[in-house]
This record gives sequence, C-alpha cells and structure tokens, in this order.
Amino acid sequence: MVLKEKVVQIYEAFFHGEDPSVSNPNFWDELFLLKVNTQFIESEIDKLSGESLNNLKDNFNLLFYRASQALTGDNNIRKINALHTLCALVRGIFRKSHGNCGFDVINLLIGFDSAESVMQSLIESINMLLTGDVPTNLKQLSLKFMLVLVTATDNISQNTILEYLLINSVFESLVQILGSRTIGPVLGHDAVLLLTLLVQYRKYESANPYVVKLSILDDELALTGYAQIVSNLLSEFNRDYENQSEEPSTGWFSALASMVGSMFVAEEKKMELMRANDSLLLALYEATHLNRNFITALTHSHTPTPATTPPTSPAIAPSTVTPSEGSEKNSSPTQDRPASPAPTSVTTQPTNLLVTFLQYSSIVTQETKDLTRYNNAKLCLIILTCIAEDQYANSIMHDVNMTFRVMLHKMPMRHRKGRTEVNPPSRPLICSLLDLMVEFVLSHLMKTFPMDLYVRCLGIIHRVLCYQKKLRVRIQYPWKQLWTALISLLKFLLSHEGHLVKKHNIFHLASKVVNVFNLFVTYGDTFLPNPTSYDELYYEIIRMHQIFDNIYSMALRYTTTESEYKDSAAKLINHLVNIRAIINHFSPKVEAWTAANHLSSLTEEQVLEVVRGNYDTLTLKLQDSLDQFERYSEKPRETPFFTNQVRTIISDVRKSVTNLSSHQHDALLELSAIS
Amino acid sequence: MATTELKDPPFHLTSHNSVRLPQLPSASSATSPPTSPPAGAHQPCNHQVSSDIQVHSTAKHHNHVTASTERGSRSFPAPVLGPLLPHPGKALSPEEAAAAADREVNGNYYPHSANSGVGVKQGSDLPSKDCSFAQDSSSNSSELVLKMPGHACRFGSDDSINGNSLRPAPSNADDCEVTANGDIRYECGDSQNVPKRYRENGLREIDFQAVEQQCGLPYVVTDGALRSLSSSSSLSSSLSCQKSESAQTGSHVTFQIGENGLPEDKENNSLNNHHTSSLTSISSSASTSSSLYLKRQRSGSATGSFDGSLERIVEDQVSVHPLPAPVLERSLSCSVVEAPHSRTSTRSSSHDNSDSASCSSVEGMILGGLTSHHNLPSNSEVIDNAAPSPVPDPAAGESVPAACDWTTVPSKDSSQNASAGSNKENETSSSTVDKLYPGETAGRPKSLDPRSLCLPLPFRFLSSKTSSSSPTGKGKSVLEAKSPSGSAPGGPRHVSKARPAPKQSWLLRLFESKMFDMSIAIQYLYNSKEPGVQTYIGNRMFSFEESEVDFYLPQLLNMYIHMHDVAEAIHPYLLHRCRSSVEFSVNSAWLLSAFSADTFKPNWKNSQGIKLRDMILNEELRPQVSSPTATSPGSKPFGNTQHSHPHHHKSHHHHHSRLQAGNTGSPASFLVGTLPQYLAIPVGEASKNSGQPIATRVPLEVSTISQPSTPDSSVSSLGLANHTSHTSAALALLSTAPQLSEAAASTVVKKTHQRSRSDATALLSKQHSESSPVLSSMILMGNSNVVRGADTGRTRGQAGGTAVGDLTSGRAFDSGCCCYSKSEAVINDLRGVETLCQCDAPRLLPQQEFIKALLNIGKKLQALSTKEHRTSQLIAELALVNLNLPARVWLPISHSRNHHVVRIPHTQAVVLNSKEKAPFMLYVEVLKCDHASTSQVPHKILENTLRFTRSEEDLTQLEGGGDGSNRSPSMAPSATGSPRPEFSVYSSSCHDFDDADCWSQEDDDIIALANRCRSSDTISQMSTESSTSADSKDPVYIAAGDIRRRLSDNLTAPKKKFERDPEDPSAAALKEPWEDKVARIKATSPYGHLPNWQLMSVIVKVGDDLRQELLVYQVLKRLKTSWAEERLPLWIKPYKIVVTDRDSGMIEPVLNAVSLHQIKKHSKLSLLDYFIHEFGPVNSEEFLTAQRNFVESCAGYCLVCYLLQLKDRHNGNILLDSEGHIIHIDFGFILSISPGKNLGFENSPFKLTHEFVEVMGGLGSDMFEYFKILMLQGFVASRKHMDKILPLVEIMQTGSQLPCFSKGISAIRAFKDRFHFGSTEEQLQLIVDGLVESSLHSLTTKLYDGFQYFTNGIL
Repeated sequence: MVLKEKVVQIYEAFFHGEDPSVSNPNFWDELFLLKVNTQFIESEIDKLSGESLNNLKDNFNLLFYRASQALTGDNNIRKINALHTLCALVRGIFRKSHGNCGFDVINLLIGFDSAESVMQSLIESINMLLTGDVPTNLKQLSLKFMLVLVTATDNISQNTILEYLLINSVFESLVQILGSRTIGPVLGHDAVLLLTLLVQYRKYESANPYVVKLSILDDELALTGYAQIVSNLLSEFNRDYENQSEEPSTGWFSALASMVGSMFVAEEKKMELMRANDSLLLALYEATHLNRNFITALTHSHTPTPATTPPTSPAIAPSTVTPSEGSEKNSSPTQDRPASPAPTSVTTQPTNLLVTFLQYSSIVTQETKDLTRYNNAKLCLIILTCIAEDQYANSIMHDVNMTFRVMLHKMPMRHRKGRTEVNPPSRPLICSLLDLMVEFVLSHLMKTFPMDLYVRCLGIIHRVLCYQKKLRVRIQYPWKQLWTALISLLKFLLSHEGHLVKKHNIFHLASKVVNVFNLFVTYGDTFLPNPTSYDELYYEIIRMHQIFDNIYSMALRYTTTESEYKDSAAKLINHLVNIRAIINHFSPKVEAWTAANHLSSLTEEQVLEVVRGNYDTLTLKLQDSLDQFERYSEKPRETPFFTNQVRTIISDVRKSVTNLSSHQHDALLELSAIS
Repeated sequence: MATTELKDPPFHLTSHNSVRLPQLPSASSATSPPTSPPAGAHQPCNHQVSSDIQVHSTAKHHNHVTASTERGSRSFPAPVLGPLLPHPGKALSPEEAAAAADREVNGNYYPHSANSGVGVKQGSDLPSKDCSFAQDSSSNSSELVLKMPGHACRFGSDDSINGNSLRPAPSNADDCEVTANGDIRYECGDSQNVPKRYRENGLREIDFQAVEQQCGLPYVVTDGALRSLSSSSSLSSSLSCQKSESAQTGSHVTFQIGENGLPEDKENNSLNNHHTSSLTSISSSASTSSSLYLKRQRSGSATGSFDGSLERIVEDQVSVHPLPAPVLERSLSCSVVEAPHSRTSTRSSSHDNSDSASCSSVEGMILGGLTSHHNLPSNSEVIDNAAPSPVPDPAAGESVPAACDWTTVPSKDSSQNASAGSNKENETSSSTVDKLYPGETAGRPKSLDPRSLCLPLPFRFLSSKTSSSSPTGKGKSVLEAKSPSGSAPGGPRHVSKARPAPKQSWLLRLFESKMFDMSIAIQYLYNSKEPGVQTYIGNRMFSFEESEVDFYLPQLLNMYIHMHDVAEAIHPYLLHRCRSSVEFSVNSAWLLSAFSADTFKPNWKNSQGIKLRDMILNEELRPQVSSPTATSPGSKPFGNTQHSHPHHHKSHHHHHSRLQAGNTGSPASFLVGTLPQYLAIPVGEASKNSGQPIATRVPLEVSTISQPSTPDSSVSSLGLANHTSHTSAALALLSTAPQLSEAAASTVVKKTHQRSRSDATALLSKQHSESSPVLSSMILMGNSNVVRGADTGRTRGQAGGTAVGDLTSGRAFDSGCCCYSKSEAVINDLRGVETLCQCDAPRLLPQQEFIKALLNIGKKLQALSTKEHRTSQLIAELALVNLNLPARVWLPISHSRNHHVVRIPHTQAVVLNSKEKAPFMLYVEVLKCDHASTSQVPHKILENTLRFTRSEEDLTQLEGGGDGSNRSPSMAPSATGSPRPEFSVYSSSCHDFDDADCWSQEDDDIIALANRCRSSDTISQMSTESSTSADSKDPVYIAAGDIRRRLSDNLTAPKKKFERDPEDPSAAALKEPWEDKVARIKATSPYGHLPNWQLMSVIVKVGDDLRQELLVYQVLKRLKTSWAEERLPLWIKPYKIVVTDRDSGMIEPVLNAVSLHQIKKHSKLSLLDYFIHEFGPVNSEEFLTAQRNFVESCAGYCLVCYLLQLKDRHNGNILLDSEGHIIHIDFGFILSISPGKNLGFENSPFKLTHEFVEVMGGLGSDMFEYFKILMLQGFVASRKHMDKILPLVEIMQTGSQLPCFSKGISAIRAFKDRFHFGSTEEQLQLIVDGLVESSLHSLTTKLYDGFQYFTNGIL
C-alpha cells in the first residue's frame, strides 16, 4: 500500500461523498494549508461517470465555495492553494462536460442557487488579489486561474460561467495592472491575454461590457502599458528572427550547419513563436480596432528596454506593491515565453510599437503557405488596415520629424538575395509601411495566390493615398517602386488568368490596382512630391502600356461572355478609362517623335520630354469615389476568421495553463521566503 | 491740541485697521486733517524714515488686518483688554490684532538698538557735532511738519514721535519697568503711519501687503528699516548718546537711548502704556534677551568657536539651525515670567491667541518679569554677572563720554554690532554668542537684526520680560542695556528728522527721491560699505515693484553670495520673496547654485549662498500663512517656528548640554515651559480656525502635534491644563536628558496649575485644551515619537507624490498636493478666490522636476552622435515627459508665469546645430491661468482628440452599457434597475452592440474639418468636391495639363519654408513663421480649442554656461530701455535667459529668425538677394521697411558688439528675422575674451561686412548714413545711461569666475572706457566713424568667417 498524501486522503473522502469538515471546525483552514494535488483531483473527476458526478455535486459545491472563501483570508499560502484547487475543479469538471450545456457545469461546480453570490465574492476576491498589496506571484496565479476559467470551453461564447465575469468586472483590475510600472511587465502578458479573451465572449451577439470598456478606455498609462507589453513580445520575436537570419552570414560551415539545423529546429521554433503570437496579435488588433486612444499609445515613442529584464524598478516603491516584492520581481518567471537571446545593438534607438509591428509584419507576411502563417499575416494586414484608416496614426506616420529606422525583412527570392537592409534610412513611418506593401505585392506572386491578402494590401495603400490626398501631404517617397510593383501584379494576373480566375475575382483586384493608378493620375497634384514624379507616372504607364491594354482586353472578354465576373470586369473597364486615355494619347506622340527623330528607341528622358510637351492636349475623366473606401468592419465579414482565431488561441492558452503545479511550487517557495 | 489730535488718530487708525480694510479710508480721513492732508504715499522729499516706515508699517498693517478679519467673529472685544490696558490703550487695543502687529513691530525694533549702537560709535567719533545735529534734527522735523503738510506718511511718523514727546505724560508713565517702552511708543507711531499709508495707497496695496505679510514680512521689514535708518544716520545715534549722557535717571536714559535722543521720555512712556502690553513686552523682551545673551555669551564663548557673523547670519537668520536654541532660551525666560502671572498671561492669550505669553499686558509683563526674577534668582544672577562683564569692553572701545554703566552696556552691544562689519574679532565673539543664542542676538545691534527678523515675535519679547522687570540695580542696568536695543527703533526716526548733516542729506534725498529706483539701489547696495545704507536699501526693496527687483536678481544674489554685509541687508527681502513666490524661490535657487558654484570651498565667507539655496530647496521657505482664515499674528510666529523647529530636533541635545553647563537648571525648565506654549498656542488657535491649516503652517513636529489634537477641538476647556501638555510635549521635544525634563516638567505643572486657576478666558483655554490630551500622550512617547510623527507627516504629504520625478509614472510633476482639486478649491476658483495649499506637499518640487526632466534630455542627447539619433531620442523623451502633463509647472522662460504646461508637441521639437552640446528647441503648450500655483491644473485630454470625442459619443449611444458598466463594477445584480435594461448581459437580443460602429464615417467629417483649417489652393479642392459629389452621371473632365501645372505651381511657388534637412532640422522649424506654427499646432493639439491656450517655445541648453548670456541679456535690456527713453529707434532684441545651473539653462528663442548661415545655405543667395526674395523688389514698401529694420537693428547690435566686445561673430551667431532685423546671439565671448585663446582673430570693433552695407544700400547711401547717425545717437544715449549699465557688469564681476572677467577688474575698466565718457559729441562722432570704417575694412572679419567655414562649415 502506497503512502498517500494527507491531502489525497481528504480528496478521496470528498470523492466518496463524505464531508470531512463536519467534525472538524478548522478543517478548511487546514486543508488549504496543504499542498494541492491538482492532478489527483482532475484525474478523479475524469474517472467519474455522469451519474456519480451529479451525486458529488454538493461536495464540489462545498469545495468550490470554501476555496473561494479562502481567498478572502489573509494567509497567502491558503490563497494559493485555494486558487489551485479552484483551477483543478474548473478544469476537471469542464473537461467532463464537453459538449454539454454550460449551465450543467455551473450547477455541478457551484450550484445554481448560490452561483451568483459565490461568483460575485470570488471575483471580488480576485479583484482584491489583483489590485491589492499581495505578492506578485499570487497576482499571477489569480490571472492564471482566470485564464483557466476563460478557456474552459473551446468556444468561448459557450462558456456561460463567463456571464458572471461580465456581471462582476475584472476590467478595472486589469487596467490597473497594465498601468503599473512595476507589475505591468511581469503580469502584463497574462492580463492582456485575459482581457483579449474576455472581449471575445459573445462579442457578435450581445453587448459585452469588456468591449465597451476597452473601447472607451482613456487611461494613457494603461494604454501605454498595453502597447508596451505587446511591443516587447513582438520585438522579442523580431530579435529571434534576426538572430536566426544572421547566423548564415558567419561562414560556409556554420551556414550549412544552421541550414540543416533550421530545417528541424529553427523552423519548429519559428512556428511555435508564431503561434504564441496569435494571442498577442489578437490583443493588438482588439486594442487598435476598439480603442481610439490606443493609436496614441501605438505611436508613443519610447526607448526600448532590453526585453529580457523587466524594466528596472523605480526608486520609489509604487503604492500598489510592497517593498518586499522587489525580490520577486527579478526572479519572477515570465512563464511560457522562451528566454530571448541578447538584444541586438541597433535597438537603443527610440522606437514605438508601430515600428516593431511593421518589422514583425515584414517577417510574418513573408510566407503565407502555412495556414497559421496565413492567418497571422492576415491579422497583421487587418491591423494595418485599421491603422491606415486612423487619422491620428496617419498624421504620426507622415510626420517628417518622426523618423525611424525600420528593419523590414525581405524574403529571399529566386532573383534576389532578399534579407534585410542592415542600416535602413531613417524615414517617416509611412515610407516603411509603403515599402512593406510594395514588398508584399512583389513577393507573393505565386501559384497559391493569397488573393485576400492582396486585396487588404491594396486597401492599405489606397487608404494611405486617400489620407495624403485629403490632407495634401507630400512625402518624399520613390513612388516608382509602387507603380512597378503594381504593374507586375497586373502582369501576374494576366499571365495566370486561367488559373486564378477559377478561384478569385481577379477583376476586383485589378480594379483596385487600377484605381490606385487613377488616384495618382487625377489627384497626383495633391500629394506627389514634385512634377517630375508625375511625369514618371506617365512614363511608367506608357512604358507598360501593353499590360494595361491586355488587362483591358481581358476584361472586355469577360464582359462580352456570360460569367460571374461580368460586372466586375465591366467595372474594371470603366476604371481603365483614364489609363487608356493616357496610353492612347501619348503612344502615338511618342512614336511620332521617335519617327521624327529617326530613333529606334527612346531613352527615358526623351519620353519624358514628349510627355511634358503633350499634357495640355490630354483630357482626363474625373472618376467617382476614387478617394472613398469601404471602412473596415469586423462584422460580418471577418467574423468566422476571428472566431476561428479565438478557438486556436483558447486551446493554446489552455495548454499553457494546464500545468500550473510547477508554478505552484515556486510560488510557495517564494511566499515562504517572504513571510 | 495738536498733540491730542495727533494722538487720537493713530488709535483710530489702529482700531480701524483691526476692523478691516474697507474702513481704513475713513480712518485715514480722520487722521489726516490735523497733521496733513493725505498725499501720495511715498513722498520723494521726505526722509527715508517715512518711506520705510510706510512700507513696513503697511506690512504690519496687514497683520492687523488679517488678524482682525480672522478673529473678527471670535474677536476679543475691548472689555476684555480693557482692564489690562491702563489707558488710551483701550481705544487702541480693542483688537488684539493691532497689538500683535505692534508687538511684531517692537520685536523688530529692538534690533535697532544695534543700529543705535552703530550710531553711538560714530557719534563718539564726532561728539561735537552731535548737539547741533540734534537741534537741527528737531528743528528740521518741525519745519518739515509745517512746510510739508502734504506728506501724510512722513508726518505720521514725525507726529507720532514729536507729538508724543510734547504730550504730557499720561498717567501710566510712572513705571520704571516701562524702560523699553520708548520703542513701543515708536511703534505706536508706526502703527499710525501705517493707517495713513494705507489710506493713501488704497486697498490694492493693502491686499498686496496682506499677501506679503503671510511671508513674515513684517518682522523683517520693520526691523531692517529702523535699523537702516539709524545706522545710515549716524547722527541720530550720536544724538541718542548725548542724551544718554545727560540723562537724568537711569530709566530715562534708557528711554532716550532707545528713542535715539528724544527728550520726551515721559510721553514715550505714556504712549507705550497705551499701546498694548505686547509692545512693552516686546521691548522688555529685547532687553531680556540681551541680558540672557550676555549670560550666554559667556557660556557660548566657552562652548566653542564659530565661524563668524556670516555664519551666524546665515544659520540663524535662515533659521535652519541656530534659531531654536535662542528661541528656547527666550521662551524659557518668558515662561518663567508668565508662570506666576497666570492672569496676565491668560489675558494676553485672549489678546492674541497665538502668543499668549507675549501678549501679556505691560503690567503683567512687568510683574511677571519681576516675579520671574524672584523666582529664579539664579537666572537674574546670571544676568547680573553677565551684564557687568561686557561693559568694560564696549566702554573701552567707544569714546562715549559720560556713559553710565548701564548705558554702556547697550552701547557696547551697539558697538559690537557696529564693529561686526569691520571688526572681525569683535564679530567673532559676538557671533559666537549669537550663534549660541540667536534669540539673544536680537538684543544686539547689527548682526542681530537678521535673526530677530526670523524669530517669531513671541520669543523675542518673552525673553525680554525677565530683564525688564528685574528689580535690582543690576537688573536695571541689564534692562537698560537691553532697552537701547529695544528703543533703537525709535531712534532711527528721530535720526531721520535730525539728520541735517549735508552728507547724509544728499544721500537721503536721493534715496527718497523719485529717481531712486532699483538700478540706483543696486548700485548703492554694491558700493556702499555703510551697513545702514545697505539695510535701508534692503528694506526699501520691499517697496519696489517685484518685477523691477527681479531684473536685478542675478546681481542681488551674486552680492548675496560674495558680500556678506549685503547678504545681511537683503536677506530678509529674499526670504520674504521666496516665501511668497514659488517662482522666485526656484529662480533664486538656480541662480544661487549657478553663481555659488564658483566658490570651490565653501567657507564662512561665501557659504551663505549655498545655505540659502539649500534652505529654499528644502522647502523651508513656505508661505507662513496657510489660508486666509488662518491668517493672524499668531500664525506668524508659527511660520517662524517652522524654521526654528527642525533645528530644534537636531540641536536640542546639544543645546541641552549647553544649558546645563552654562546655566542653572531653571532656565532649562523655562525653556521647556515656554516652548510648548509657543508651540501649542498657535496650534490651538489654528485648530480652532480649522483643523487643517495648521498642518501647512506648522512644520514638522508642530504639525504632527496639532493634527492629532484637532479632533479634540470640540472639547471645551480643561482650563489651561493644556499648557501642561504643551509643556510636556515641549519637554519631549527638548529633553533627551531625563533629569532636565523632570525638573522642567515639575515647573511646568506648577505653572499650569496657577494658570488654570486664574481668570481663564475660556476661548483660549479651550483651544488649548483640544490639543492637550494628545500632546500629553505624545510626551509620554517621547521625543522619538514626535520625530517619527513628523516624518510620517512629511511622508503623508508626499504620499500622493511618491512618483515625483519618475517620468514613467505619469505623475512625475505632481507634488501630491490635492488642495487645489478639492471641491472647496473649485468653489474658490469659481469665485475668483485664491486657494492656498494646506498640505505639506513640496511646493518647488514639481517645477524642479520638470526642468530637470528637460535638462536630462539634453544630457542624454549629448551622448548621441548624429542629429538624426538626437532628434528621434528627443522626440521619444519628450513623449515620455508628455505623459506627465498637464501639471502644475510652468515654463520659466516665459514672461508671465501664470500658466500651466499642458502638453509638449513632441514631434515639433528640434535639435539645434551644435556639435558636442546638444541644445534643443521645443514648443510647449500652456494654458493661461489666474495664478499658476493655485489655479486648477487642467485635466488631461488625450492626444487623439477627434477620436476621443467620438468615443464619448459611443458612450452616450450605449449609455446604459458603457456608463452603467463603468460605474458599477457589478453590473448585473443592479442591472435590473439600470436605465438601459437592454444592456444587461442576458438580453443579447435587444441591443446589438455593433462594434463596427466605432469606425464610422465620422472621420470624414474630421477630415473635412481639417481641410477647412488649411486654406490652400482651392482648385484641387474643387476637384475633390466634384469627385465626391459626382453622383451626377455626366462625367467631369479635367485636363492632365492642369494637374501637372498645379503640381508644379505648388512646388515652385515662392516658399516661405526651408526644406527639411535632417542634418539641420532646426532650419526648417525656425523658418516657419511663428503664427503658422502656432496655428498648425493649435489645430492638432487636444487643448488647442481652449481659449487660454498658448504656444511657447524654449531652447534648452545643457553643458553651456549661460551666466554670461544672462549678463548680456541684462545689459541689452538696459540698453534697450535707455534707447527707448531717449526715443531712439535703435533696435535690439534681448532674449530671456534662465540659468538653472552653472552649465545649464534655458534660452528664449528668437521667433521667426534664422541664422545668416542657414539663409545662405538654404537659399543660396546673397544677403541682399535674400532680402529681395523675402521682401520684394528694392523699392517696394516691404523691402524698405525691412531695410530700415535692418539698419536700426544693425546699429543697435554694432554698438552692443563694440561696447561689450562681442566676439565669435560668425554667421551662425547672427540671425535675421522675418522683418529684416538682425539679431546677435551667443554671447559666450564678451569683454575680455575671444575665441582662439584671445589671439584676436576678430579685432574689428564689430562685424559689419560689405554684405550688410549692401543691404543698407551701399556705402554713402542714405541708409548707411542713417546707420552711422543711429550709431552716434545710440552711443550718446548709452553713455548717458552708463551708470545704469555699468553696475550690472561690475557687480557680476565680484567673486566671479566667469571667463569674461578673466582679466579681472581691468575688464570692467576697459568696458567703462569704451563709453568714452570724456569725449565730446564731436569726438564721439569721429570715434563712431572710425569704428565703422575699421570694421568695414577689417580683414579679420573675413578671415574669421573663412575660418568658421573651414572648421565648422558655417557659411
């Protein structure tokens, strides 16, 4: 007979339907001083049949109630054990009831009669723990427990226990954590995660107070803290990537080694990282999308701190944290995040979340074959769309005084080395954004054509141009890059018409491309940096006139024949009016000029000369709504995407919070050290 | 007849004063008829006395006024006082406030004795003249009275004096105790004056004064004034000497001395009598103190060595350390006195809540004094012993002919003081004494003054009582010895009258003339070694406009640092200003550290600057009155206590030992007894008024004591039992030595008992009682507890501001004071009433932190190499700073301080061109407010304004949801009752929250709005509209040619802007017209819509010494004023400098100006062409205007360059503004130094290149001639005002390590020579022509430009 832990014996009593507390008035106090064996609880619950589960309802209720009561005491060890007990109960019972109605679970766990009051007091205790003067560890554990609760079901919207969380909000506590200078960096990730998940609960069906509260949050410190947390994690990812990509340059052998290595390890690691960032991206998205003030935080410049160490604690102890906590701060594990390697040197320069995010996007959008990556890239583009729609973000991005060096990573391709510019010029952010878009356009012309991403990419370009046009911002940007990229896109569409047209509405995409050109053609005077660039635009169009011609004829084809894209094709034709006018106007002139000068081919300068000389005879049609765009809206179009994303994130998070017992040990150790 | 009239009005006045401001006018009218019709407040022709007195008296007045207002409700009516005051005193003293004020005056006065002492000394030198002077003076005064009835003020003072003298002695004149009363009487005179002055100046001034009063001004003022007077006029003192010689009775003699030779002792006495007892007490206290002091002197000398008078001044006066000891001592004596006379004391307490002991009536005082002596023979003995010993020295030192023993004593004091300035040895001894017993110092003449200023009144006169009452002959002598000191105040006035001496008179006349302004004052302050003159000026400064004085702040502080006699003279003023103004405090602290930095090793000679700075930075100079309600005489002593207290803590052990060693145990017990009184009484009073104010006022321990006590306030009297408690508290504070405390405790108990039996006026006792239980408990807990309590008090004060200085906290500039955010404050705000901070939050810290944050940025930038790095770092750092705004901070560079910084548009900040230093310019958005330190700090508005408003709409839209959930964390339980049930969690169906709504089309409206802001070319606008509204099916056509043309037009249009150049980011920023920039930033700022929004800019420079710049700024400012006075069109632009330390500071940017270098670089045009480009063709109006501006500014700056020998004049240091003015910047090389190791690269008088002349129209052109004429005129004008300019520079040379003074005094001499004072105008013209000529043809200018081009790339 194996010696059983005392606690296990007690548990067994519970599972036998006994109530060991009956005879012992101090029973509960003692129980929660014992180290919890969560695995035992969970496995015991697993073993139970539906029937016996129901029979044990009272005991579960009692345990749950007592555990939540223990949180109100002042013994930290009891609190920790109580939290673990709660975690075990929630996990075990929810696992049991997959597929069942949630209310069943609530009844089993808490009991319908008392659920409301018990949950209220439980959440109040949690709030106390989160905001009160307790060890960081305990705070962390409470967050973990909340995560356990939130991720109890696969579909968060079916987790009816969350209703109680809507009633008794933890939002304020989370905000407080985010705004805190000391515990923010430690607990921030969990807090952000929890907040993000809470926002997801039935967000398409009912009014979720977390959505509302997040959307009107105007605590600048909390927002900045939020941004900082996201930024830190993203830049960690960036650093990892950089370190990876740096390796090959060291030598032939190491290159080979790393190549081999990366085949198995690095790739794996990358994927892992990316998945870990799903939740982070979602958090960034929710904040950007919901909260108008977050844009400020997004563009709040700061000097990055080496992400491995939490920011040095200020000399003055903050009000929320006890001085004794100083010791924990350094040792506190940042759990599932892998320890990042030493930061690279460039990062001493001030940066902001947007910069980090652009860099991150340049990595994530490189490859989209894998579904996870695709989703990641998609989310990135959605966030960028939101940003590009925002006036304030635009004004920051266009501010010539705010220049940043953004390391945009380029994918190695057949015709180029790719890689990253080691020392990118310091430019307004908008240039980097456009570069990123151009890069995306150029690097995804492939068989598995990411149509959706292309549409989003063009949407971003379009939005930026609209802003520039409306506010007459002239940025010094080599627009020619963009034009060339767009023309190559058209060319790709043309050449893969047969293949693509089966899956996508390429006319829609082509229309978008053409409309970007139209913006330049008709409104170039408002945002082009100089007259020469306008000439160059014409030059590009004339030079590649064949592609436009072909697009036109392709569209024509689809309009004449009956097909599902008939309308789109017709629209495209309509949009091509000005381009065609330009081509038709200038081509003869150029030819005539060539002929007149007896030249076989013309230099660019010569063509430009012709162009300059013949503007006046060209009349353009002012097209409708060139500078209008459909605002991004999550509902209804993106709903499935996000629901799916949330599902993956939930399962990820659930995995990360399954094994808390190791933490438990640490926490207890630390607690004992403190007390 | 006349006398009576004279007599009456003052009383009237006083009562009126006490009643309240508005009534004053009537009072004045009553007063005026007999003496003189009211006239301008300051009569230039009058003697200084009048003016001084006015000033001071007004200040005093305030006390009255405030006190009265405060107590109005609670006031102790005349009846109460009636019995106490034998006489007219009734009429006079209905208000204790008045009494208090008087007392204060008195306290100030006795220091005068010092002056008189000085006078004596001088008098001794010129004994023969004395008589005549006296006569003259008397005749003079009478004449004045007759001739110049118009000058109410002066008359007031004169009258009081004369009238008193003429008056038959009132019944009370009898008392011998009244010895010191002469002083008192004078004070009466003062008080009289006060009202008059009042009247004249009107309410406004009064208010002003009232404000000043809070800062404890009155003490200082009176004191200094009197002293100055007496000292300045040595004659007066001599007079007094004479009289003393001829004195009939010892007591009389004393009086005379005190009064400085007024014959009419009796009247004085009578006056004294009617004046409140407090007066007497004061004077007597003075004497006491002196006696004690003598005692101490001995002990002190025995104890140890002290640095010297300076030290003494600094420390004592500054009140940090030395004060407490004396205070204690005095208080001891007082307590002793009072103890027996419980009745009196109580009365007095009723009189003035604050200092009961001090207030005791004359009789009581006397009695008390007597008793005390009796009770404490040891003490008196000590005194006796002490008295004789000093005598010999002074006697020897002075040639006063027939000085009696007692007379000599005072004279000795005076002599000591007098000698203090010059005689180091004497000083040292005296200083030692002083240091030991700073309080005592009051009795001493010169050196004492400063201290006495600082000391709370009660102390002062309390101590004096003992001596005054001493029955024995020796005691008398002591008294007399004291009395001179006390009487001194009277003396000065007489002196003023009697000051016929021609030499004095011209100076006096000058000082009293309208001409006398700050610039003259500063000059005399610097040049005069006469302490009297210095003190006079020191006091006179109170009457100058603050802004006027502020202009000379660098000079003042430099003198403060390097000239200790001046330091003494101006110390009161500085203290006063520091108390009243945070800004002044901050500025002073900066300047002090900047200029003190030069002295490497602080010693007794130069440490006062540092000490003052530390005092300011330690927040020891807080306004003494916390709230309008709390304003009272009582509160004043408090304020002082603040200073003394901290010291207390530290020093008391020390002190103790000394006590024990030097004195018998009894003094210790006294000490114990009095201290608590003094502590507790004010506390009680304050607590009565309102619990909280105390905390503010009362520093550490006191506050802690008082706070706990407040809750008990409702408890009615335990009688005076509270005293016990206080005492015991004091004990706790004081005594570490158990024995001592025991002894003291016993005494105390006895005393209290007596008191409680006495006719307790309920009010006071009640107040006292409130605090008693707590206090007693605290005593039990002992000293440490108190200390700890103090600490906690402090921490509490800072609790809110834990984050001060931590930029990431978002509250880095939050002092933690929430007094202004309370509802009360809000109401006050609405009513236009100022709220006063009542918590202990640091006043200066936010501002300091703000500036520190900016300077730190500068430091960080220095570490970066490229402009690009610097720029991005700068922006990031500023964004961080921004997180902490708005805050109660202001931009020191701005000319008006009343604003709050709300935001720094961080993206607009630019790094300026400099290689190793990284100066940067930033813009600061501020909101104007009524008063920066009291108005509400604006609320934070988030950056993303437009979206923010939209969020609010969301909120309303979802109201139930957003709102409800916000308010109640637990929404559901109560949600059933929530206004919008559909928002409850379960009702998913009824309200579908559409988050897509957050991104509505509203932004288009925003864009439209933004578009409206920019009224650029409308053509494309048209196209926009057409495109958006193109629902009409007929297509719109545009010509491609038009598009391109617009594009090119747009870009080739004459730009007022420079292209942004990452290597020179400041060029574009500076070139942008200020108005445009303001409009632009305003449009984007979340605060821009507020009507009081303003944009300011500042250059922050770290690593550069801006002290020279500051000096040049002052000179330029002065020059500009001079030229304006002469109506010359010469133009210069002095830009403001704030020196924050030796190597950092801030500069006011010159708006709309770019350097010639930048112009050349960006426009690639010659200067003339640039003018044409900017302003139009040569004959256009704009061009001509610009050209004229150019010439006028050029003339101005050429003169400046020549006079100051500005060097390093490359094109990067010469700006051109948008109106064509040139402006020189960067004054790093002036006077005797030039770049390149003074090798004389630029030896031309000024930079006048051919390019400049070209803009002027070429050689020989009209404008060029005009230029030369302007130069000449400007030269003549500057020469005329030379004496206002020279001192600026000269003073700064004192003790300065500034590079520009590296050649020492010769730099000044050369500077002076450049004014060519001896030349005729014709000669000057030649000189100017020569200068122009040589500058034009100077090779070195070209060489230097070339050199700069090659080395620094400056075109």
